[in-house]
Parts: sequence; structure tokens; C-alpha cells
Amino acid sequence: MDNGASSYRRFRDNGDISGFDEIVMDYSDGLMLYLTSIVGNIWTAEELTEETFFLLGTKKPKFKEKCSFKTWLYTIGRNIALNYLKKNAKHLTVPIENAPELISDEAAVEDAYIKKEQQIAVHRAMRKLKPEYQQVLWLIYFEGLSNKEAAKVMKKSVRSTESILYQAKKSLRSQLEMEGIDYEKA
Amino acid sequence: MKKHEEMIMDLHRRMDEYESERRMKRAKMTKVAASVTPVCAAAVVGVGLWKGGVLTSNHDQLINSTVESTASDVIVSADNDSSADKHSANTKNTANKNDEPATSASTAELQAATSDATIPRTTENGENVIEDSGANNASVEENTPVADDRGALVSDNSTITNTEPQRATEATAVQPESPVQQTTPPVQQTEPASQSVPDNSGNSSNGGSNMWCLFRCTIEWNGVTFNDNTEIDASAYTQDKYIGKVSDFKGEYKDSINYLIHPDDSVYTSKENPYVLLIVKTEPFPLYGSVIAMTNPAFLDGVVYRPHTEDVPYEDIQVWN
Repeated sequence: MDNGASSYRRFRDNGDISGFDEIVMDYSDGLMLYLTSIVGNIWTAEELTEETFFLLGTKKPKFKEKCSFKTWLYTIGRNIALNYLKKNAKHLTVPIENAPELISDEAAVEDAYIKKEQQIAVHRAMRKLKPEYQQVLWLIYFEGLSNKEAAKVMKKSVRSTESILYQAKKSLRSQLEMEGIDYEKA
Repeated sequence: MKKHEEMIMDLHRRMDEYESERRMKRAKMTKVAASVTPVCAAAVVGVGLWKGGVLTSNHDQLINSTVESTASDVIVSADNDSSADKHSANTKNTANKNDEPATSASTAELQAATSDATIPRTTENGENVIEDSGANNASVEENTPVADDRGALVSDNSTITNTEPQRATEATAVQPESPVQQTTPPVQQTEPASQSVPDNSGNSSNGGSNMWCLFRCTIEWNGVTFNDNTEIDASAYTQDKYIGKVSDFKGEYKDSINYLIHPDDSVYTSKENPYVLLIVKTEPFPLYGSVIAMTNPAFLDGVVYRPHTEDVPYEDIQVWN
């Protein structure tokens, strides 16, 4: 059991708002970057992240501890993001004048969350891959989830997830080679 | 991009709004429920009563009573129609064929009727009609509006009609040799005006006597009206003073078989009751007894007025149809 689970229990069972605040502080950046790999831009990912925590704060769904709190939270975030994509499939465009600002915002979050310069370079190369590859690479190499947990978040079988992971690593290697980044060090 | 603190603040604000909105909805729902619940409860109770048969039974009773009354109305109207037709047919028969008075023909029929309660009677069309001479006629009299045309006899229906069946019984007991008298009271009740009702002047078709009818007799003494009363036993009273003949008093009486008292009869007061006068008959074989009691309205000694409907058994109506 991680800290997120105990903080959420304090909030849910005892009404401790500080538990909710701790969850937001600990998981908002990682969830935001994960949702960015789904929806494609950091601003929408931020809104969806806030929506995920709003759902946690109002509906207070029960955490049954069948998986880690991060896996459970990311699963909720992914469902919300997919619902959003379903509802707004025709309006998923970002104004071109906002593109530089969008990139800088994402960079700021990367800097705050990833911190290692090489990993940031890999993440930026990863952002050019297919969304499915981005998700599996983010969950396994940046969030440190196991293949099984990543499969649960993505609602795929472990075997399918491993296959996607293999393809994703292959694509990322070629992407790093194209960008002249030494992927062995990364 | 929001900082963590800003995101937390936004989340808290949104959560507070959500909570307050939820409370408002709950309060609104509570109000609606409070207003709707009594209506629903009343509806449930109503449906429960209805399904339980409480309301249905009353309804059925109402329907049954309505059906019964309607059926009786139909019977009565049928009686009226059939009796009217029958009486008119009788009148035609007697008046047109033989040039005889209608009442004499009816009397002959009635005399024949005394020997058997139900006899086939031939109408002008040659059809046999089963009649019950007494009770059926009584039922017709009860329901026939023609009876209103009979003048004095029917206008005093409340007093006369109740007593007449018993009067017939007494008369039969006194003089069983007279078959006409046995049938007179029911016929008096039943026969319509065209056949049986003489006028008060006595100009009936057979000279003022009509055995089918008994008219109310009254005499006035000291400003008080005395009516004939066969409900009481005249022999229970003792003659006191002779106060004159009947003809000395004002009132309704006539030297006819249709009247209990005749002008030549003697009038006595009674020792026991000042409200009773005793009429001593002068004729050698009086039909209704040698002494007739006359009472005024103040006399209430043991007189029981039965409901008029007791004289009309339902079976009689059925037989008539």
C-alpha cells in the first residue's frame, strides 16, 4: 500500500481534506503527462487531470486495493480522457497561435516531473510516436509500473501490452536515431 | 498552466459548489416529496379500498337497488298497461254486446271468481287470461293511476284502503252465504273508474248500488266528524244515549249496499269512550254487522294503521303478469 492509498482513505473515510490535497500534489503531474499521451496536448490533459481529482473529491469512489493506488488513479484518468475524446472527437484541434505556448507548458511540466535531462529528451522523442506507444512507454519506463499494471490501466491483456511495448521501443529507437540521440545512454 | 496550489483551490471551490447544489436539490426533493406523499397515500388508500371491495360493494348495492326499482317500475307499468287494456276491453264487451251495465257484467264475473281463485277469463279476442281475483286486483289498484279518478273513495285512500281488506274479512265471517261480499273489498281496490266507480250522487249504472266498492261513511256530531271504523270491535262498547237517526246528521251515508250506514240507522253514544258512536243497523240482515262503530280522529284506542304496502304482496304482481 502506497501513500496515495492512505491519503485517500483519510479523505474518504474521515473527511480529511489534507489527504485529498496530498494526492493532488503527488499525482497531478504524472497523471497530466500520461493523459497528454492520450489526448495529445497538455492543456486538455490538465483539465482532464483536474476532472479526475474532482471526481475523486465528490463521488469518492471506493478504492478496493486490488492494485496500486497509482494504477487505480491512472485508470480513472484514462477513462475520463477517453470519454472526453469520444465527446469531442471533432474539436480536438489546438489553435496554431497557442502551439509555442503549449510546447513551453509541456516542457515546464516535464522539467518539474522528470527532472533528468536525458529522460526529458527521450520523452520529447517519445511524444512523436503513436499514442498507444507513448502510453505504454510512459507507464512502464517513466511511472515504473509493471507490465501487468500497465496492461490493467490500458485495459489490455499483458501479452498484448508486451507486444505493444516491443513495438514502441523499436519505434522509439529509430526516433532517437533520427534525432541523433544516443539511446543506449538514455 | 496552473500550479499545484491553484489546482487544489479550484478543486475545493468546485467541490463546495457541487455540495451546495446537491443540498439544494435534496431540499427541493424533500419539499416535492412532502407535497406529493399525501396525495400518493390517498391514492393508495383509495385503490386499496376499491380493490378491497369496500367501494365496489356499495356500488353493487346501488346498482342492485336501481335494478330492483327499475324492474318494479317496469312491472308496475306493465300492470298499468295490461289492466287498462283489460278494463277497457271489459267495458267494451259489456256495453256494446249486451247493452247491459258494465258493472253487472263485472259482478257476474266476480261471482264466478269467488268459486275459484284463478279462472281463465275470455277477452274480446277470445284469449284466456288467468286472473287472481282478489290480490291481483289489489296490486293493480296500488299502482294504477286511474284510481285517482275515483273521487271520494280514493281521495281518502289513507284511511279507507287500509281498513277495507279486514272489512271484507269481517263481512265474510258474518255472512258467508254472500259470495259477492267475499270479493268486494279487493275489487273495490282494484277496479278502475270505467268499471266500478259510481259517482257520489248515486247515479250508478245499477241504481247507485255497486257491490265492488265500499265508500267511507261519516257523520258530524257536535262539530266533530266521525268516520266508520271496522278496526275496533263494536261489541266492546255499550250503547249509552240515543241521539237520533243517521239522517239527522250531516255526513256521507246513503241507503245503498256500498255504504256501511244508512239514513234509517240509529245513532248512540258509547259509555266507554266519548270518541265512539255506535250505529245500530235497522235492516233485518245487515251485511257488516248489526252495530257499526264510528270514531273521530281523536280516537286512538288500540288502532294500528298498517303500512299500505303490506296489502300488495310481490307475488301477486308476478302472477298478474
